[in-house]
Amino acid sequence: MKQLVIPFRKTEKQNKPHHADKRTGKQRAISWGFLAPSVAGVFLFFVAPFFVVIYYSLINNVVRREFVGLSNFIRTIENNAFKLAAVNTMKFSLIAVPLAVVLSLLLAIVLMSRIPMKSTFRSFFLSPLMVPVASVVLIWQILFNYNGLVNDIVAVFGVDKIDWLKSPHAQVAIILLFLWKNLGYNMILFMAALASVPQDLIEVAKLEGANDFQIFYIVKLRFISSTILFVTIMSLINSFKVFREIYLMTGDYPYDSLYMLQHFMNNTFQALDYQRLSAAAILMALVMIVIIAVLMKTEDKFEKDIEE
Amino acid sequence: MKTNGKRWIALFLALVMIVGMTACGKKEKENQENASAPGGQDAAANAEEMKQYVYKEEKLSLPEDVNPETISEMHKVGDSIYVSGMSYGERPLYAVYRLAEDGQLQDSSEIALKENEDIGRVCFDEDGNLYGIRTRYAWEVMDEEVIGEEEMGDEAESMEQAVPVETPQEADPDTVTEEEPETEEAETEETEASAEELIADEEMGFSSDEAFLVKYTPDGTEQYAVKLNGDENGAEGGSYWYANGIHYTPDGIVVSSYEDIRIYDPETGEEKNKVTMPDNLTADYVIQTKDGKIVIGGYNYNQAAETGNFVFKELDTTTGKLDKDITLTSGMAWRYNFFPGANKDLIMTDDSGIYEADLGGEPVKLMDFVASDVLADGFMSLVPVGEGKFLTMGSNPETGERQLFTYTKVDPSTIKDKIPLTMACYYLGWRTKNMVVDFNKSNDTYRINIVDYSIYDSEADYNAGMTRFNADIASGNIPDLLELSTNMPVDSYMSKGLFEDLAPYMEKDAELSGNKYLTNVFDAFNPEGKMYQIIPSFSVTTLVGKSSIFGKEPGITVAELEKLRSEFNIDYKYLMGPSNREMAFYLLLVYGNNSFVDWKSGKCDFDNEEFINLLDFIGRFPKELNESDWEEDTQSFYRNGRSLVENAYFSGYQDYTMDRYGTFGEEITFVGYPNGGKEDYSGSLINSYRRFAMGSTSANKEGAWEFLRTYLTKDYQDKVAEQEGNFPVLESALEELEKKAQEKPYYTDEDGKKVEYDNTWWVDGQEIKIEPLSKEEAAAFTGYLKSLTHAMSFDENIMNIIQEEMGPVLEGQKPASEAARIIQSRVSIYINENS
Repeated sequence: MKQLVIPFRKTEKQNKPHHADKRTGKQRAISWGFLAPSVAGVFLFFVAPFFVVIYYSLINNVVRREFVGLSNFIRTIENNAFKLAAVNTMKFSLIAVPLAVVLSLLLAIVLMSRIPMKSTFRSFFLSPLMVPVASVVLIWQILFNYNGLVNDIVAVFGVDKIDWLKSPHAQVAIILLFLWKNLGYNMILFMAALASVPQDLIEVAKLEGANDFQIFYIVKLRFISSTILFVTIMSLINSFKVFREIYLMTGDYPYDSLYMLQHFMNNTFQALDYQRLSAAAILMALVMIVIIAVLMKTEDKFEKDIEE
Repeated sequence: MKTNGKRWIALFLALVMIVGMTACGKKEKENQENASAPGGQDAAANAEEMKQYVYKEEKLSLPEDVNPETISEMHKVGDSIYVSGMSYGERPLYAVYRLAEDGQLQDSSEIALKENEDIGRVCFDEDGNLYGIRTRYAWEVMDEEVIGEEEMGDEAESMEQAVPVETPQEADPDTVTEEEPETEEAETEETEASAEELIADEEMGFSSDEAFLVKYTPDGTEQYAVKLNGDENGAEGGSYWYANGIHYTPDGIVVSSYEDIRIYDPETGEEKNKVTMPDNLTADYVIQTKDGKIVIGGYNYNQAAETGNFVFKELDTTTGKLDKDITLTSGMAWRYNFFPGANKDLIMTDDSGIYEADLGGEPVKLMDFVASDVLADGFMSLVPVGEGKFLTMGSNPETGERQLFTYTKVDPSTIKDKIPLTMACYYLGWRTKNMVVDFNKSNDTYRINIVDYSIYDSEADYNAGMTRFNADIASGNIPDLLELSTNMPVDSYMSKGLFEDLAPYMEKDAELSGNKYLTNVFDAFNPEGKMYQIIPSFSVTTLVGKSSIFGKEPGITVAELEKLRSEFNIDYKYLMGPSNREMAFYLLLVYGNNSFVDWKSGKCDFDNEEFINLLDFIGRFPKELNESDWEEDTQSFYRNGRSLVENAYFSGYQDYTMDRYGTFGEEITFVGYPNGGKEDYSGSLINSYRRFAMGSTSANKEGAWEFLRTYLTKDYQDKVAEQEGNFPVLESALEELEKKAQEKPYYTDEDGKKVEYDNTWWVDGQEIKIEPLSKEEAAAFTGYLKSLTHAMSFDENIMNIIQEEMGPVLEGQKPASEAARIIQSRVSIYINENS
């Protein structure tokens, strides 16, 4: 009887000789050995404090350390100062971030077109990045002072003097500051992204009879979707950092329209209220996670289009 | 090979990083363990450490010949200790005693001086010669014509026309004749007559004192007297020249003043060098190190920059130059008194202990006063007399007499172990130290060690101590006891549960539970139903005015105050006594902010008419007062109606009596600071600058309570008025004061008899007798004290916000309503955050 020989196809793993397994394991161990200090540092300075913050948010105070469940979160959510700060931060981000993205994209489109003195304009928009924060703050204080230049200009139109930084319109001044500071950087990112859109696709679109708007919306926008996501996230992060300028201009306790989440956290830290600080930080982190998840999902959808 | 080499290098670097992080972690773990130790601050380790600083105090029995009242200076030269000072008997003498290190008198001398002379600072050389600053006092009367024609400050011209008073004829001090006493009496009579004439005629004059550098041999013989002040040698207006230091060095005698430093030849008294003080150097300190170096310096304030720093320089005694910069300890130089050291350059004392340090080095603690159960506040003089032993000059705390003390280091192994309690404070007060030392001496079980956070303050950061205290609190290092100060966020601490509720301890205490206390005072400082703070005593701040104007009920609004001001036509600058805008701000807003902020409900109300009126009202006060505004007898303004209200501070019944019968001369009402019309707030405020608390995590709460309760015992409370100058919180003690206020003051004469006298008050040059309070008045004042409900609360953040927003209002750039709106917004955020 003939023996049936069934060819047996070895898996890649099975194809490897035994000494190859040992070498892979050894390499892995060496790799982890070299990674260990960095991992330890990340753990010590990022991961461990993260868990410490969670722990602090669940106890009553650093002295008694009694577990109190979610009462710190409830206390924080019910705190009027926190509510005000959260609303102001959200309002600022909802206005400033889209403006930063859209305006910088528009600027990038304009600067990518054939206009004279392109490099001059590029330098002009990038120069705010080089100006120190303290100088910017000083200039803004002078401009928006009760007796400042802005009031002189609006007076020409018959508008009464406004103490801009201490009025309900204070966010206007800060949004202008934010845009002035960040448009240049976003614009450069968009310019790089626009330059990387394949030209042959644009040519094909033109041949198909697409107009400029359709080319932009259907072709370019999809290709730069990852950059848009990146710029949005960076702008969102920068919108929180604007606390630095507000703090330098108005101190620990600004007018209520400028009171941001960072003010709340800064002040609760100074008051040694670590429980409320930790709870506020976790709540803010959760909101950020949700926002970024939404943004990434949207970006995924755009990217699939491109892949298809 | 190359690859292997790289691998080994990389592995080595990785190991170095891992080892480094492991070491950090270990220390962190140790710190955490220490932080969680009972009593915070690792009490046991702290107690062991404190044993190293224990010295035994012994009063030095002075030889009979040495009169303690004469001692004002102490110096050590070689193995000899010189104590010396002025003696004012029949004639002034300067007595010098040379003692051995064990206090045995070796020899003494007396230097006879003239009637109008004394010797101040001195120093000695190795042979026992004394070098000192002898001052001859003289008063020159100005001619009447001169007074009419010249400006008061024009001394130069006045001096030319001055009529000198006859000074006693100079007699050889070493020649004593039988006639001399008569001469002295005659001279004295002459001088007294001249003085009477001066007083009667109200003649003006000026001092024309003369200062001399003198040298006396050990037997009291004068070698030379070199004039130090005057036209040639002294500062302008030479009689005001003042020597703030004299030191012997082998290169010469260094005499320092605020204007210059001079070096004199010890043999001849000839001036060898003279250094004018540079602009950035003040001679607040003239310090000599163990090697004889002289360091001069002090606080240099730059008026333009509105800041300052300590500057010290070493004096080169050979050339007289002040070029070498010296860093004098890393702490606050003003904390210490400096003396030549033994093992290191300097020995220093502050109010907590004795330290030694090299120039520019860190102070090393040698002795802790509290650990040694010593009631000392630093020493006037201190000399080391062997290893671990000091001889000091201080005052007997009971009699106030000058006393020499020796301090000898105690072997730490012989010190009895007690359970340690840690007390944290910021600038240890004398009375608290007193209480702690008494407790440590009398209690066999517990011992309190003090941690004074003010020692961490530095010139770079004046708040470093408070920052460290807050950081320790935040990390769980709560001490057993705390002395609370006004710059601590006490409300924040209370809300975080840092303090133990002492109400149950009070209820369980057999003695205290039976006593009646002014619970309104406790309630003003503690949340409802709780007692986190012990208040041993209190005082009251309020605005006071005539009842005939304000009526009998307390409370006033800004509008009412303005109406009365207008009705009686009172100038703003005198409304509350002489007050400029800044003073008005403090009185009406800093003290009066309670009417706009309600911490219990977490609300503030600045955006209302009352506050806007208040801002406008404050703006009407003058920015600055002129000198002429102070020239009149402003104390009489309240009586004669030029001032409407007085900012009064009551810490005893006597204050009320003086106000009632002296300042106002008629019945007064406790008007209070503007209260916005609130019925539950009278406008008067309770102050208490000394408050105590127990840490909630203390492992020795019984021991901590044993200490805290002493502040509320009858023994302590009965002495509060006398020792602290405040009102007691015990009702029976307050009632005793109420009774005393109805009696005339008295003193006890030599025969032990009670001698009553009248208090008086001067108004417009007339003396007014102050009557004791009547029974009704005393009772009414006690009732007022018991009715107070609000504690003084100064919140720096709120005041900063108000001051910031008020600026443009006061400059007329912004309306008060706009500022009020902004203040309301900002302060609301602050209150919401913290409620």
